[in-house]
Amino acid sequence: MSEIPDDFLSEEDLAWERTYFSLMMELKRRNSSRYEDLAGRLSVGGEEILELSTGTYKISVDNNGCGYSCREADGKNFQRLGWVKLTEDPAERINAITEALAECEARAQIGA
Amino acid sequence: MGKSLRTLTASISLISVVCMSYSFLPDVAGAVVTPPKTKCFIEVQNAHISTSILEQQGRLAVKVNATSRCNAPQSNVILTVKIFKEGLGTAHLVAQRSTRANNPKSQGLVVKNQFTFAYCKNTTRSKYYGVASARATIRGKAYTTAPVWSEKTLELNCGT
Repeated sequence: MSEIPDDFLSEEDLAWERTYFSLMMELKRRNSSRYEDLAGRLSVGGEEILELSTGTYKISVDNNGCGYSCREADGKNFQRLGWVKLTEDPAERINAITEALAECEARAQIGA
Repeated sequence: MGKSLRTLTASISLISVVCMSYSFLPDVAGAVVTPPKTKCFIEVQNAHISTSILEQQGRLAVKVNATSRCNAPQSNVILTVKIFKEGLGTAHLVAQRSTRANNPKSQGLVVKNQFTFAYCKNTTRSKYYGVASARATIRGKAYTTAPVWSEKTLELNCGT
């Protein structure tokens, strides 16, 4: 399947990946309604702050993409953790933002 | 301000920028040199279809992994991986992820970024490569590495 398999990673890394990517799926399924509401509001552009158990996160959307950041230890600035490109199609945008929300929350829960 | 003073001020500013760049950037081989000698390098994997995402989510996704390795402990490592897709015109960014600076896994001799991916929308063959760069604190000093490209640009059955 892959040009270069995941042998770059140790067994421990692969176990971590399995936990992380399955958690992302589980969160997307469990929180679909909340994520879709938020994604719908954000799809035209804007920012939302998420107060999660492990810290404060910010989701930002503009024409080009959707990014998520976490508040740094200094309590002032945010560190960008992830960004994905968004298309112009509204349904695709909402779906991609929903996935970014699940990913952000999975990273918060798993401590990544 | 006289002309000669403006020229001097401009020269000092230029020198400051050059020195800061020299202090914070590694040499061309990707090694950071300080006394005692500290060597760091970034490895970037070629873009590939992730088996982990396929197994756990049943979806195709292009993924690039990277590591930052040093011979001295790193801390507050922000290891950023970007996935670019080649197409008509210039290559464009499809996804970017960074390790979290204050995460316990972002400290030590080896720090990995193994969560940079983009879901495939279809199986259209497309060309991808990864670029990684890092910011880290080593022996109390902040360093920024130059970007490192994956060895190959590979065509995958993944339209994004």
